[in-house]
Formats: sequence, C-alpha cells, structure tokens
Amino acid sequence: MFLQEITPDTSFYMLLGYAVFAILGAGYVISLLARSRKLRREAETIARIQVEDSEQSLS
Amino acid sequence: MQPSRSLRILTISAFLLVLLSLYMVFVYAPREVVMGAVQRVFYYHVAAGWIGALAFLVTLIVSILYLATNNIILDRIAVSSVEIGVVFTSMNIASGSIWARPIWNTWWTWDPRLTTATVMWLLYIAYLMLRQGLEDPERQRRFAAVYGILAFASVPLTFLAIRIWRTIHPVVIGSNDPGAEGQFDMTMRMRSAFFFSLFTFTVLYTTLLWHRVRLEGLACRVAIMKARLLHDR
Amino acid sequence: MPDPTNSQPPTAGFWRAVSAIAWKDLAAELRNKEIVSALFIFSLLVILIFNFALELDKVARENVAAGVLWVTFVFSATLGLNRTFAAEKDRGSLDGLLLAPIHRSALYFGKLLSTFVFILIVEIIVIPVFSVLYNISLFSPPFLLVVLLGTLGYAMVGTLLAAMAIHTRAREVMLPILLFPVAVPVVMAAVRASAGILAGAEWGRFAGAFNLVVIYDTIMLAIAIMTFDYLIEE
Repeated sequence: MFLQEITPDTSFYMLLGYAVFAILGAGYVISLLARSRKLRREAETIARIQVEDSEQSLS
Repeated sequence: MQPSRSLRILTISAFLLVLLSLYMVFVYAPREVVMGAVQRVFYYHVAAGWIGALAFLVTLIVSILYLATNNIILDRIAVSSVEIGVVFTSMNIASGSIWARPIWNTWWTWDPRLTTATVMWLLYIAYLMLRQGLEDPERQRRFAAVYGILAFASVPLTFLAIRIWRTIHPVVIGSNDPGAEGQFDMTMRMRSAFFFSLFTFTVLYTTLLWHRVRLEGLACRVAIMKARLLHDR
Repeated sequence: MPDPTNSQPPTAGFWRAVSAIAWKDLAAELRNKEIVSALFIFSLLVILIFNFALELDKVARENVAAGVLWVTFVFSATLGLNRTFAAEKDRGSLDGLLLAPIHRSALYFGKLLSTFVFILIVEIIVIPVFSVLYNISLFSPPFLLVVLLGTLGYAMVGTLLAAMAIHTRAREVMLPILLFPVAVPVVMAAVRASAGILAGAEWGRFAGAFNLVVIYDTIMLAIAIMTFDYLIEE
C-alpha cells in the first residue's frame, strides 16, 4: 500500500519537455529576427545602389 | 520601419506573461501525486495544441476571405499563421511524446489524438512546401488559399477515421485514451495554471503573428525594390 | 462569348463539355493505351513487392489483403493523376481548353471523369489478379461499392490537387506530398470497410467506416466545386 503512494521521480522528462518548448520557441523567434535582419540589410544595399546610380547619371 | 507602439507593448506583455506562466506552472501549481513532475508538461502541451488548432482555423478563415476579396494582407496572415501553427504543433507533438514515455511507457502510440495531430502537422508542412514550389506570386496566393481550406476540412475527418479504426482494432497499451491512462483531477491551482497558460499562449500567438505578418510585408517591399532596381538599370 | 467564370447552374451544354473533355483523354488513351498499361504493370509490381516485403503466409495474407490492395490503388492512382495532367501541360492543350467558352468546373469534372475511368479500368484488371494471387474472393457487391466510392473520393481530391501540382517545381513529388495527408481519412475508412466486408463481418461492424467514405466524398465534392475556379488562370 505504502509503495504505491510514492510519487515517481519524473523530473527528467519534465525538463526534457520544457527544453523542447524552449528550443522550438526560441528557435522560431531567432529565425524571425534573422530573416528580418537579412531583409533590412538587403533594403539598405538596394537603396545605396540606387543612390550611386543617380549620382552616376548626374555626373 | 520601427514596430508600432501597440506592437511594442504587446511584445513586452507577451514576454512578461510567459515569465508569469512559467512561475504558475513550476511553483504555484502543486506537484501531481501519481505522475510526479512530468505532469507539469501538460500545461504548455495543451496550450501549444490549442494554438496549433487556432492558427490553422485563422488560416482557414483568411484563406476564404482572400479568395473572396483578393486582399494581399489576408494572404500574409494565412502564411504567417500556418508557420506559427506548425511550430506550436511541433511543440505539442514532441512534448506529448516526452510525457507519454514515463506515463504510457512508450514514446508513441497510434491513438486518435496523436495521429490526427501528426497528420495535421504534415498537412501544413505540405502547405508551406506548396508555396515554396510555386513561382508566380499571384498563383501562389490563390493555390495556397485553396489548400488551406482543403487541409482544414480534412482534419476532423482524419480524427473520425482513426477513431473508427481504433474502436475495432485491439488496443495495445492499456487504454489508449488519456482519460484512462494518465488521468488526474485538477486542483484549483492546477486549473488556474492551466487556463493562465492557455491565455499566455494566445497572447504569444497574436504577438508572433503580428511580427510575422510585418516580416512578410517587408519581404514584399524588398522584392519590389529589387525588381524596380533591375528594371531601371 | 458567354462569361465562363459566372456560376450559372449546370445545363445540357455543361455536361456536353464535361463528356467532351473526358472523351478527349479516353480517345487518346484508346489509341496508345499508354497510361492504363503502365498503371497495371506498376500495380502488379507493388503487389509483388508487398508479397515479399511482408512474407505473407495464408493467415497474414487474409489480414492485410485490404490494406495491400488499397495501397496499390493509391500508388497507381497517384501515378495516373500525375500523368493525365502532365500530358495536358506538356502538349499545351490546357490553354486551348481554357479559351473554349465553357464553365470552369466543366474542366474539373471532365478531368475527374477521365482519371476516374482510368483508375477504375486498372482496378477492374487488378482485382481478379489479386484475388488469384492472394487466394481471396473479392467479388462481393458491397466490396466493389466501397472500391468505387473510395476511388471516387481519392480521384476528386487528387484531380483538384494535381491541377495545383503541375504548376510547381518538382511536380511529380509535390502531388503525393499534397495529396496523401488530405486523403488519409478516405483511405483509412475504405481499408476498414473493405477489411470488414472481406472478413465476412456483419454490416454494423463497418457501417461507420462506410459512412465516412460517403461523407468524405460529399464534403470534398463540395469543396472541389467551390474552389476549382480559383485554380484556373484568368
């Protein structure tokens, strides 16, 4: 009777479970940041090329 | 372009809510006696599953509206929602599998809920692959909207099909319904932690969706700039 | 020229257009018998591979027969769907069809009809061969009805998705990726119902599975009618 009432130690699985939430959640946020940074850099490059182009056509 | 004031406030509140819900899950809620610590996976597990379903429902609605109105914003919401839904469904499936290991003594069983979640996950991966495989942007939006409708309609049918299958087939591990194996009564505190997690995840979903839709808009603007530049030269 | 996109109710002209489109495919097939013969040989190969992969003895064979048969149908039907639409695109005849003043969904039903007939012909040849090779009698009317309705459901969704898949890169791979997860319910229910019938179970044991096949067909038909117009270029 007494043995049945001992709560099993399952903290390893709990940590594993929350590690999944953390890795997937953080991974997704990081991917969002990386993508937006890449796009922003591209936009800057394009803007710079446009400025150079207009300067060339002026001179 | 900087995020708007309301988006910044939403982002900060989502972050704070996550911290608070972690406190609720790990400290405020009591440890479950039969399963032990692993029961705490349940709070986020169910919340992630809820967000998966919600995200795909949002995709269904905006897909229908897109076909009716041809408004590009709706398509941006559709693809963003699918992406977030896939991430949360992955969390749901993986965490459920981890919970099942000590409780059902197996990583995986072909029970209706698990199988439906997996088929749903594959459906929306297919949705994203379809978008990637189409080059013409206008066609991409139209086809994706149709697939978004078709995919959502097939989810309840999948659940029914597996349940019919199960009721006739022998059941392998005890009873496959968590109602029998791994069942527990929620105390008031557990209930609070559970509903708070649901709320937190819903706010988190809204925040991520907003950011993701903005990202899609940025991508569109950059693509236009690129095309214009190539055209001018 | 009448506007082909408006949704007037189907008329005699509509069904004439449907049969014309289907007949065009069937007539081409009658000439070279390309698709049906390829699908038949393919089906035989699948059955053969299953026989060795599963090491089927007599008992095992009876247990898995319905499953093996449906997997064979699903694989060859997917191949057939890819074929009918790809041929259309390669020949460029799709554009010609679109210029014709017909209702858009006539195109869907025409394509559905021709693929459905192709798959049925293959099934009509495969079923007797299968029942000889696996030593199981498959000639019961309820079983054939399940085959008919299950194939119809698969072909309905398959035609819709094949019309999408031909426009993607790597279209041959894209069709099964799009189609299999959507077809899970109808395939599962059809296998369940077929297995019940072949095992000689009473109707009540598999009525749920049979009804699900019918429900699936109905829902997918409705979605196909509502959405097919959007898959066709303006």
